[in-house]
Amino acid sequence: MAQPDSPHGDEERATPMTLDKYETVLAEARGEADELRDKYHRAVAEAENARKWAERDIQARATESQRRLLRQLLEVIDNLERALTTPAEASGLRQGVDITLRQLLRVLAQAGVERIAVESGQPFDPSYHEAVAVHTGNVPQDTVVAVEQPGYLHDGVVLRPARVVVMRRQ
Amino acid sequence: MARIVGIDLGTTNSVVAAVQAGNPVVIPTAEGGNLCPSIVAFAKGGEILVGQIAKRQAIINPENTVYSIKRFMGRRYDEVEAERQMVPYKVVPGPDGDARVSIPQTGKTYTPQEISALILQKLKRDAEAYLGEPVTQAVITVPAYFNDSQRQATKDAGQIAGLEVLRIINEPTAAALAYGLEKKTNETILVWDLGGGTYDVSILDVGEGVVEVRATNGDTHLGGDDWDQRLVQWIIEEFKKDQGIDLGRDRSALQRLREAAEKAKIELSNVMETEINLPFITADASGPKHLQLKLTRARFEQLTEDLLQRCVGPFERALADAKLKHQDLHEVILVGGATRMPMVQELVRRLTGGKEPHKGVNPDEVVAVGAGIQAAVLGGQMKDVLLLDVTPLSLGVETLGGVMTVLIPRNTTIPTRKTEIFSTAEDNQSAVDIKVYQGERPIAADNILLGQFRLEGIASGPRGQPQIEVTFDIDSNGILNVSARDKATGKEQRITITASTNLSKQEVERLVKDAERYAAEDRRRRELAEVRNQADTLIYQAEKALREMGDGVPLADRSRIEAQINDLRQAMSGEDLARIRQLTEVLQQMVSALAQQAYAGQAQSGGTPPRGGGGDTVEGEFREV
Repeated sequence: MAQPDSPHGDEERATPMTLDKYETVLAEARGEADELRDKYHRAVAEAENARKWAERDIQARATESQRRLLRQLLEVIDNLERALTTPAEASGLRQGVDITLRQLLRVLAQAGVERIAVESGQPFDPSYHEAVAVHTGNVPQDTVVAVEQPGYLHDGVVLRPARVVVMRRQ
Repeated sequence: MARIVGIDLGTTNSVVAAVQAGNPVVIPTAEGGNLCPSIVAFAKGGEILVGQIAKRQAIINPENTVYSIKRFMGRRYDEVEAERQMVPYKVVPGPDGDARVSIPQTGKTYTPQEISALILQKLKRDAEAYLGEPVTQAVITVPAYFNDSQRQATKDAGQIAGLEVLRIINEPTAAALAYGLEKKTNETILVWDLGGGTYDVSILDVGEGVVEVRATNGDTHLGGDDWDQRLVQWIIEEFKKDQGIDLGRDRSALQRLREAAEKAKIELSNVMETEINLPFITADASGPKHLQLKLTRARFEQLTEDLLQRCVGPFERALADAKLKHQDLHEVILVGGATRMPMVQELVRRLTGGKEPHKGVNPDEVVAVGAGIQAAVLGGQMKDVLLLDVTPLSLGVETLGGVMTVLIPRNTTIPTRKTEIFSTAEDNQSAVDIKVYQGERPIAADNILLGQFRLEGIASGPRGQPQIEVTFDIDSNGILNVSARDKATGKEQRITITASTNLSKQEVERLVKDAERYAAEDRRRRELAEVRNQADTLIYQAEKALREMGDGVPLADRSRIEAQINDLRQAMSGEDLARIRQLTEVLQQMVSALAQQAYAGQAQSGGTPPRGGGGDTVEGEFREV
């Protein structure tokens, strides 16, 4: 604060604001305003992008957690199938298990799960098959000779590859 | 602008992370999942497979499938004899005595840099697909014990893959970055990294933003896989004892055993006992055999005790090399999937004198996340990022029944602003008291009163009609402005509270803990307050209806309703929630019946029916609308 006996403070008189000076200050202020406006726009855009990312992230997490559950259910299916392949005479129990298995597969089909079609004699394709055992033989290319555990797709993405025995080219 | 990514180029798996909108995210591979197996295969068709797909064909193409290449990076052929014995592909000496991989499928030899480059290329491709922009620069991590030649080889691998490697950083340093510990001054940090197949323990010095590795030790062949293997052996033995069949010879059964063992290990990190169920695991003449075993965490820990003990030596050697005692360690960080096992966490706690370690949800991703943060810092992405504060506790006002009505929940990033409309609790109420509280308890009085003011001169009207706009505004300095405005008269009052964020960390923690501790009791009290508010609203409506309808209400009905109101008022002063609810319900029915009568009589009298319900509005000394 200026002292009461010198109402027009000395400092102010020492550096009077010329028009030039005002223009410089104005230019500086404008520059700063532009910079802040730019930062503000960026911040808003960033917030918008963050929202979109979060949405995508949530979607991806939901799909992943669904797939985790589906993979576990596939093991239950495997066991029901194992039960049906054990040699036993046709019985009511066996028929019941068979119907239950088909019911479960139908439920999964509705959730977008489909079995990967593999037959023996088909060329080995690591995009869909996982080799678990290998024999060597006279084949033109690596060939699936047996399916040990079926593979599944979920909405076209490999949920679990088919486990196969491969005949390897000599 | 192209984005810079951070890459954890691991022995078994690799992970990529980048900073998105200020937060580090792990980038999933094209096949799904965040980990990419560090495996490269040269398939017979001439194509080069990397990651999950390379892994699936490994056993039919072992001599052309390269894994664990990190063990050969920048090493001389004669240094890696032991490692050479352990891999099915052929390692040969290069012209300068360096270790190289010979691939029969292509008839060529490859340097470990070239093989690593193929992994990096895939990671780059997947990152570009995910981020939707080109990736040309990266930060790559290496173990702290890597020498210059190994670091240079890693850098070269990046270059071959078309990535400019801005910096090679140590894995433990990346882990410290992921937890923001580089900002500490003069601290000593222990990084305990137990992965799938390797164990590294490092001691870091942090000061003035510089992280230095003071000592490092480890075991290059100890990891979570050993725990799995131990469990597989145990299952085989148990089954042999029980059924006399050796599952170890049955390839197909063994495959299922391995998976079940890993699953059991993971489960035992969260529960004390698990069951291993493998129906139809095998069969003999008598029919199918099922495997069913119970395994407790205690038994599992007993089975793997020696593996755990192998972690101790390297820790003690690192400490000795650093010339430190465990008391000198300020922070402990756990890295690697195997550190999820409670026995490992217990051991670390015990060895560090009870220090609580930093452990994220995904210890396998910590190193990549740290590399991603370093990448963002180098790319200038972090420069412009304001370090935004959050509100440590919820902020709100007291409403009818002493309820805390939160306007700004805790952990909201500031600056922020929130407006809500409230109303009066009485007819012709001319003033409202705005009491501003901070805290997590549902009853306002249990929280901290930050300030209060009165808004006077509210336009007169029945309760619930005036609209009072309350605004909470916290600026970037943490200063809270609360204003209340009567929308009808434009009258406004405000208060500025400067002390809303200067609670100590311990205080905040205590308040949050209190809220958890009293949660059940608080819930009951809040419920009681709400039920009382509902009853109060209903009594108000009933009395209003009786008044307005005057003689239109038969005397018998009127006295019945009045008696009911009396009962309810009495119940409200007590604490019997169920009784208040029940009496409210009965009164509700009476009011509804009255409303119907009014409708029926409306044609002649022209009166307005009383408003029914109202159970969904929260009431205050002023109330929310």
